Amino acid sequence: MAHEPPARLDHALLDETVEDLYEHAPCGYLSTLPDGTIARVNQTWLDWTGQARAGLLSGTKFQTLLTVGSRIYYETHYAPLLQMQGFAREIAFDVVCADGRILPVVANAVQKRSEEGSAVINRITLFDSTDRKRYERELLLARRRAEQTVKEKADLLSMLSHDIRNPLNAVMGVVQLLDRSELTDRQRRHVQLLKSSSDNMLQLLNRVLELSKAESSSYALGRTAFSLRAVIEDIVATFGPTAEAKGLRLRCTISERVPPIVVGDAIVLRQIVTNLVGNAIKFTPAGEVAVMVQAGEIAADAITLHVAVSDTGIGIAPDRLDRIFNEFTQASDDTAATFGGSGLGLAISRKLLALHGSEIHVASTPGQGSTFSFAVRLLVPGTAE
Amino acid sequence: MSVRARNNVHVSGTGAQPMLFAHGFGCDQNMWRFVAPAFERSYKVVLFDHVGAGHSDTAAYDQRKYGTLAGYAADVLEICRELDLEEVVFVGHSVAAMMGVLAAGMEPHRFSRLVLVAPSPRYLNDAGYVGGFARSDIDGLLDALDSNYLGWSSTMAPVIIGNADRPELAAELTNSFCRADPAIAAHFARVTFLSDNRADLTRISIPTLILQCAEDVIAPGSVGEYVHRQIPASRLVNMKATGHCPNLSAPDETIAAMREFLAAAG
Repeated sequence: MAHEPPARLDHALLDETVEDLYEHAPCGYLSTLPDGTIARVNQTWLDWTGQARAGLLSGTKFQTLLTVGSRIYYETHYAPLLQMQGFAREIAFDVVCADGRILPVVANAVQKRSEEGSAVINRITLFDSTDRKRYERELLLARRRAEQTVKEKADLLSMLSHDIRNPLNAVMGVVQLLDRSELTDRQRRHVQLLKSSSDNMLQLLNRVLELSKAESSSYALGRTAFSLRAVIEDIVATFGPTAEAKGLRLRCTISERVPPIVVGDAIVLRQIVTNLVGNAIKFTPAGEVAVMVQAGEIAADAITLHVAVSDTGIGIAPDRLDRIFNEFTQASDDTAATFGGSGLGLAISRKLLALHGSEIHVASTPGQGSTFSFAVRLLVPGTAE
Repeated sequence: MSVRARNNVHVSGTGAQPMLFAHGFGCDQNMWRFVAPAFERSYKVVLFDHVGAGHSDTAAYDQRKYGTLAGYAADVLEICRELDLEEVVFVGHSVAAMMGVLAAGMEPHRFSRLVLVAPSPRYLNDAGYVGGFARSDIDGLLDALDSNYLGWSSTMAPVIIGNADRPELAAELTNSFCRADPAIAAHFARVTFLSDNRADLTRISIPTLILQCAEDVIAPGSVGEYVHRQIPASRLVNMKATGHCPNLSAPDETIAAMREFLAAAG
């Protein structure tokens, strides 16, 4: 399919053009022997670095043009890659120019081999990445600053919560003492108000602490053997009176295929399911709340369990669905006013599940109800290592 | 998670005596692809990836455990125990050479021979010792890692293509043998290049082969001589191969030197 060049074309001119394209390409070209000895270099590279062609072609190795840090990267990443896969892509190097200036470049290299498979020559294309590197640095710095700020905020929140909890415990102790003393009806109402308000405040503080704990990378998941059935049934029993007081039916279905004993973090799972059931009851004025546990994929030493909590409650508007997992966000602006709560429960549940490598899903129809579900992989003892 | 899965252990070969290959900083067990097959007839060849490299289980990465080379040496011993390896010929490249020295110091009876390819017990210069690097050079390396792992480089390709569920879409374009979690790579770089295992060398009494390359900026000739002096039962071979990875650039020379050593010592 080779096209014949037009007859009148001057072949010498064509060669000169090719030569010119090589020499003045908008990138540096270097050809080296497998050990890095430079065999050919284009003018662009010489212009960028101020290096002399004669010097480069008298036994200089490409890697000796790099800063020490880049040289280590060359020996530990670039050279092995070229030899293992025959190419290396987008490797960032810092080159030391003739005047000592540092030129950041990005290298793409291909290793040409003989028919017997031994390396013959490396072809390297180099791009000046000065601008790109500057943008990258700015991005990296911005990201590090943002991460640092988030961490500082979390630390502050955690510290403040601890600091507030101590005097609050004192307040609650005194309220308890007051409650036991002789009081007028009016005083008793005031003490009750104090009591419920301080209880709420303590709960909120505890949640903030749980959240910052779940966010910290040092959070270690427990690994104990426990009965998931007992945990779920216990949660349902705990919420029994609350559901009954609202006239709600509280159901619990656990598949027979769920193993009697699993290994994992029982405390964390209890907390997640408690959050979900508590929410479901809170946001369901009439009807029922159902907890369902089903067994999914069974591996040699582990099982995936699907847990779902459904309700016939007020539901969540579609445009709010993805925001309800954010801290301090509720399904509508007046949710807190009507139903109370901090909106932290779902954020904590989501973070705790993330520690298990899982996530929480929600399906909801406003006015009809919601289903929150998650899958979690737990070890089954006996077969586990 | 079993040790086999954690370290992506691969066993091959028809021999009885185990030969355990440990890769160095930068890439994964593919570093041995031109050397290991040559020993499959006479040895039980065991390859693995350090936690954080190759196809190891990065979830098993523990900052504290892998905060020193002893953590990696402990993994070597865990692999030996899991696979019930005895009389092991340990072949370690670059920083993994010192992992072998540490492991052999901890459980000497496990190992029959050490092959140290381009070893260095300390990369930084010290009073009366030339490791080859100053502290600022290591910062330069960390900077290079930043550019290559966090910058707009090919290791980012799966993210750019935007399909993290199907990494094979990008795999062919990338430097797949040297992929690593950026944070782990930076930590491993620090642990490697700030390590000092000079004192551990003298505990080695089993026959040891030191393969020293020419023009190796990471493990210069003087370092190879130092290692040779510190391990009395060692043999130092100065190779024709240049650079830091003779296992890749000069596999034939590497294999021949190993065979000669193993035949003479055995």
